[in-house]
This record gives sequence, structure tokens and C-alpha cells, in this order.
Amino acid sequence: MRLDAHVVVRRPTFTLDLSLVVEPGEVVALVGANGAGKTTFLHAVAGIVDLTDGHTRLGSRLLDEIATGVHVPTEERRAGLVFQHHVLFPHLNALENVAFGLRARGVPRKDAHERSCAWLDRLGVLEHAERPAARLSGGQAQRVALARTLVVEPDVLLLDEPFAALDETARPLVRDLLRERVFDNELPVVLVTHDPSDARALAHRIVALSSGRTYPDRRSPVAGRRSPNLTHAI
Amino acid sequence: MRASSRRPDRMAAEQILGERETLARPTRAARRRRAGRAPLALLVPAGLGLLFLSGPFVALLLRSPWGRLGELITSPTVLQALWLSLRTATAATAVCILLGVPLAWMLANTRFRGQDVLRAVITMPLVMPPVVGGVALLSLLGRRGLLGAHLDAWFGLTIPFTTTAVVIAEAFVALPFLVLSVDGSLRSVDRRFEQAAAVLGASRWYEFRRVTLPLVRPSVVAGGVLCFARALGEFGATITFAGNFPGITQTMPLAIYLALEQDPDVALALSLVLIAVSLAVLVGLRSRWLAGLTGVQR
Amino acid sequence: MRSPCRTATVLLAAVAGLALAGCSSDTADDAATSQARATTAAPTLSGDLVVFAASSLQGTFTEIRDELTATNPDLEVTLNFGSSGTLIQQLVAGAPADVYASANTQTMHDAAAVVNESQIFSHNSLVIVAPAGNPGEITGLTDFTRAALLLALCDESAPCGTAARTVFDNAGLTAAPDTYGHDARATLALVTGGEVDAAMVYKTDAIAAGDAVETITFPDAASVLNDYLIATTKDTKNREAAQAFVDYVMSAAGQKVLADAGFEPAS
Repeated sequence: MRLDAHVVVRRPTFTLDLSLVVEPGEVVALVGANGAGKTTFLHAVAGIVDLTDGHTRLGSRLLDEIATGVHVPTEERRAGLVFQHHVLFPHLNALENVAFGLRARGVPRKDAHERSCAWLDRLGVLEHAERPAARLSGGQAQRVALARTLVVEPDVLLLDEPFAALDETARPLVRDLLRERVFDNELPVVLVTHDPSDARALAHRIVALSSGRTYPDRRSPVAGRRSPNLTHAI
Repeated sequence: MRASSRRPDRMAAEQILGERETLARPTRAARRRRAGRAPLALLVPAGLGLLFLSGPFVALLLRSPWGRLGELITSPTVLQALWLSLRTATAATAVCILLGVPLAWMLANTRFRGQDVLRAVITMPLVMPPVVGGVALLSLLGRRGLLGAHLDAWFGLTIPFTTTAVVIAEAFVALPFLVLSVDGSLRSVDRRFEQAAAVLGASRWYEFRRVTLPLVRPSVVAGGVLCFARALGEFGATITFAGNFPGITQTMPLAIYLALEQDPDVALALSLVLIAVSLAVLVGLRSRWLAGLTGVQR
Repeated sequence: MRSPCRTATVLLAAVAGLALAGCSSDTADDAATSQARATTAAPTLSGDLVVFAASSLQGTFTEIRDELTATNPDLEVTLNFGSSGTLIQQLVAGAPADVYASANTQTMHDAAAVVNESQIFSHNSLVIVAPAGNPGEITGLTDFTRAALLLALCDESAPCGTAARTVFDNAGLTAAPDTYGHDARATLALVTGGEVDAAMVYKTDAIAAGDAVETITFPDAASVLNDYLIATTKDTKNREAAQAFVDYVMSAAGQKVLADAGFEPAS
């Protein structure tokens, strides 16, 4: 599925105006200083923030279009947003957190738990399944948050500073996991980070944002062609 | 002993500021020492306040007819009134929770003009005399009331003088406690939880049931306890709107009031019972009560 | 902007000045009238008098008080109305009263420790009252057994309640009220407010309510009467005025006030 977003959001100090097209399987890194509007962009695509102007299209589905007044509510977008600081539900354990989206859609408990366990295993945190969310370490919580987002099979993956809450040892682990277990041929990914090395390691393309506007679009040294196949990248 | 392991700049700071200031939190012993040195200007009024509040209860305990207590408490009138009070207060609390939590949610989550007026209206039963509440309920649901007249004409239904009326009166005066307790708590719930749930595809109702409500549970419990206590002690609105009939509408406070006319000893005994029940409820849920009111999750 | 401190002082001074002015003119008048009175009427009463009286005596005793103070301007009479039971509590606990008037014999007996010898000064009988228009079509005592009606009686902790109980016992009926008013006034209010179809209250209350209620008498009402008793208290600070009040109530003038309100005469 292809993400085609032209996001214009008026903020108190600047106006975010970013056009971004992400092909299926492509990873685009959105870099820039704090407050540049990167998180706003992700939230707008997810429908949490209202557009002032522009449109958002995911595959054949029109999610937002100011001109015609279309606005699909967040719950129906299937936009997999992983928040900065994971935002796991503190009163649930890891497994219940991951199963949350499935249960919300009416998937029976047993089925939901099986699928959740599969993702927890894939990201290497199955052993913490029963642990309350509040007692997970930064790296574990981030992986649980990822699993929670991916188990509901979103049409686009929006990662907001996935490495910000991680310590030095967890960082390369999560990077590898993303590359090997998460990114695939169909999922468009927008990765927000303020660390250019993470961008270079994972993305096909880097877009730099400053006060809501882009610097010229630069190709990442990783991607020679716009092929999403990353198995031989880096 | 520990000095050698401290860095030189820290030692200097301690010398300048005094050791207490540089510690992150005072030890329990230190806190006790501070309390012992409380200024007289505060201790005296505080002591007076304590005497003021506890004095009447102590006097009540001393004046109570301990000899006759057993027979008084087990008399049918008393047991009837007590059972009625407990039932109606529980029902009123349930009503308050069912209506109050959504109301609090509405206050905390929607923005519309006149919201301040709405909040004032919700708080009114707290500030107006309960008898006025009873008069107001009669104006609405009494035989000649706005709604009551129609209920009587169309369905032959009268609400005053029924146990339902007692529950209505008690819920009316107790509801603000729950709404205000939960409203404050809802406001402090992190917005991002709602957003995260929505992103995962949860409807607003599912999110409320599975995320927000569990997170504000302490304040719902605290509000509920306050509701129950207020409902148990309710008198003015009850006697005005629901009337007085043993077993149907004569709650403990009403029974005490009437007993004062006939047999003050009975009134004292009933008062003791009511105080004991209220204390049991408050103490039994004390830690959750405190946590809920201060919004701190234990 | 004026200093708040200064405004307060000005106000205080003004109030004090007015008060002093008032006092001085009063004493001037008093001196004149008491001189005049001294030459025409009997020695007048003075001082303070506190009268505790059952609620049902509110209208009549207020009138009696007004008549008494009209001829005795130096007398300051404070009336305290309440239910007989509550008044007893207060008296026994040492409340400063000079005269006590109760709505039945029992409560006067309960006050025996603090009052002097009492005497009956009036009686009150019960009547049935219904809201204006008599929507429940009440005709008599037997209507009080109809479960479909909303009925009120006085609670037995009040004298009118015990009297009502006697009425029904005498008639061999079991009343089925829906609520017991905590005193006669509260019970009457239920009728004037239209909340009940009928209630049993004092005849004097029914008369006082005027057009707001319809009165239905029942046979044998005259056989169940509450005795109203009056006595001076043992601790009275104004024996002369207290006795004078009691005497006035027993006098023709006082009895007329009571009779006009619907009370039965003392004898």
C-alpha cells in the first residue's frame, strides 16, 4: 500500500507543510531538530491531529481531504503509529497490551493471545508476556509497543523516535529487529528520528524537516535504487 | 564516616546550606523532630480544632445509655431503620456511579458553551440546604409537580412516600461528590492513552471501558465512598420528599430525629449505631479513599 | 480610592450615633408614657419574658403576646415555638424559659422537674383535612383505610399523633397512612401542597389554613381532645411577668383569642 500525504497543519510558531509519498516496502526517515513538526506529521497521518489543508491517501483509501471535507476517524485508518515513549497501557501486562487492538476489533481472546504471543516471540520479548507494562525496561517496552502495533496488520507504519527511550545496548538490537523482522515488501514506513545515523542505517530515503518545511529531498546512501529489499543493505 | 567518600564540592555545599537542605528527603526521625518543634501559633488552633471536632463525639460516647444499649439496638424499629438506610444508601451510590461517571466524562472531555454553568448546576446540591433539595424534588416529582402530575394522571404513579423516593433524594444530594471526584481524575488521565487506543482501532466506548475507566478507578471508588456516607446521613431532602414511614421511608437519621422527641436514650443509641457504621465504611476503604482523592495511584 | 480602614470607622461611628440617638429618644418617651400610665392604669410589667409553646399555639400566642405588650410596653416577650418533645429537652437541659405551654398532658408531666403547678387552658380537637377540591373524595374516617389513597397522620412522637391513634382505636379502624408527619404543621403542609389526599390534624390548623384545605369532621371528634397546659417555670427570673402571662391566657381576653382560632374553652 502506498502512502500519499500532503500535510498542512498550522502550529502556533510555524506551519507544517510536507508532501510525502512512500511506496510499499519503502522506509523514509524524517529527520530534524525537536519541534520541527515531525511528530505532528505522523499524528496527522494517523488522524490524531486535524489537517489545516491537504490530503492523506493510503492505498486506494482517502483518509483526509480538506477540499472535499473527508475525514476518516483514527480508529478506522489502520495507520500503525508507535508513539514516542511507547505509551503502553499501564494497567495491563505485555500480552494484554499487544492483544488490545485485536480484542477491540472483536477477535476472540484465545485467537488474539496466540497471535500476540507470536509477535512477542518474533521481537524477542515473549518471556515478559505476563509482566505488567509498568515494569518493563525501555527496550522491552518499545518492542512490546511495536508488537502491539504490528499484530493488527496496519497499512502503514509510523515510528516516532523508536530509539529515543532506549539505552546503548538496546539500540542496535531494536535496529536489527526492525530491519529483519518488521520491515517487509509491502509496508510503507515513516521513521522519525533526530539521530541521522539511525536514519542512514534503516532508511531508503531521508527527508529533513525544519520549522515545518523540508530541506531538499536527499537520497540515503543505503538505497541506490528505490527497491525496498533491505536484506543486503548496510 | 561517610565524609571521605563525598566529593569536595558536596561537602562545601553541606557546610554552607546545612546538612538537612542537601538531603533529598528528610528521614523519618528528622520529620518527627521537625513536628515536635511546630510553632505554638499553629499548634494551639490545631488543638482547638481537634477538640472542637472530637469533643461532641466523646461527650456522646460518655452520655450513651450503655446499659440499655443491647436492648435498644436490637429493637425492631432500629433494625428496620438501619436496614432501610443501608439498602437505600447502596442503591443511591449505584445510581450516582451509573449517572455520575458519564456525566464527569462529559464535563472533562467535551467543550461547549455554558460548560461553567453546567458545572455550577452540578455543584448546587452541595451548597444548598438539603431541605431545599427536597422541595425542589417535590416541585418536579410531587403530586402537583412538573413531571409528577403527569406520572400520576397517566400511570397512576406517585413517587413521594416510596423507598424509591428515598433513593432519589439521597442520590440527588450525593451525586456532586462523585462527579467532582471523577471529573478531576479524568482530566489528569494522559491524552495519549486515548490516542493510542484509537490508533489500534478501538472505538471510544471500548477505549473508555478498557483504558480510561480502569485508570480512574481509585477516584470512582473514593467518590463512591463519599456518596455512600453522604447518602447514609441524608435527612432534609428525605423527610421533605420521601416522607416518614417505618420500614419504607424512615431512615436512620429520621428515626433519630423522631426519637429525640420521645426517648432521648433511643436517639443516643441510634446515633452511636450510625456513627459506628459510617466509621466502618470510611476506615475500611481509607487507603483507597485517600489515594483516589489525591489522584495518586498506589 | 478611599482606604477601607477609614470607611469602616466612618460606618461604625454613624451606626453608633444612630443607636445612641435612638436610645435617648426612647428614654425620653418612656419617661413621658410611664408617667402617664402611672396615673391611669395598674402597675405595668417590665423586663424580659421567654415563653416556650407548642407549635400549634403559634398564631394565638403571638396575638396574646401583642395584646400584652401593647398595655405593657416595658415588657419584652420572646416566643419560642417548637414540638412539645423538643421543648422539653431544651427545658430540662436548662434553657432559660419563664413560661411553658404544652399540647398534651404527657409532655407537661415530663417537664415536672422544671415547672410549677400547671393548669389546663384549652383543648384542641382533631379534624380530617383534604386539599382544596377534595380530589380523593374523602368523607370520613373509613377513607383512612383505603390503600389506594395517599394519606398522612402525625407521628406518634407528637401529641397530635397519639390523639389520632386514639381516634382510630376508638372507631375500631386500622389506618393505612403512607407517611407520618413529624408534627402537625408538617402534616398539614402535605395537604396544602397537594401531596396527600387526606390527613388528620388539629382543628385550629385547619382553620388557619383557610381555603387551602377542605375540612371534614367526624363523629366523636369531641371525645378525643388534647389538653393544653400552661405553667411557669421554677427557675423563672421574672416571676411577676410569667404569672401575668399565664393569668392573661386564662382570662376572658386570652380565652377569646384561643376560641377565635378554633380551640375549645378551658372548662
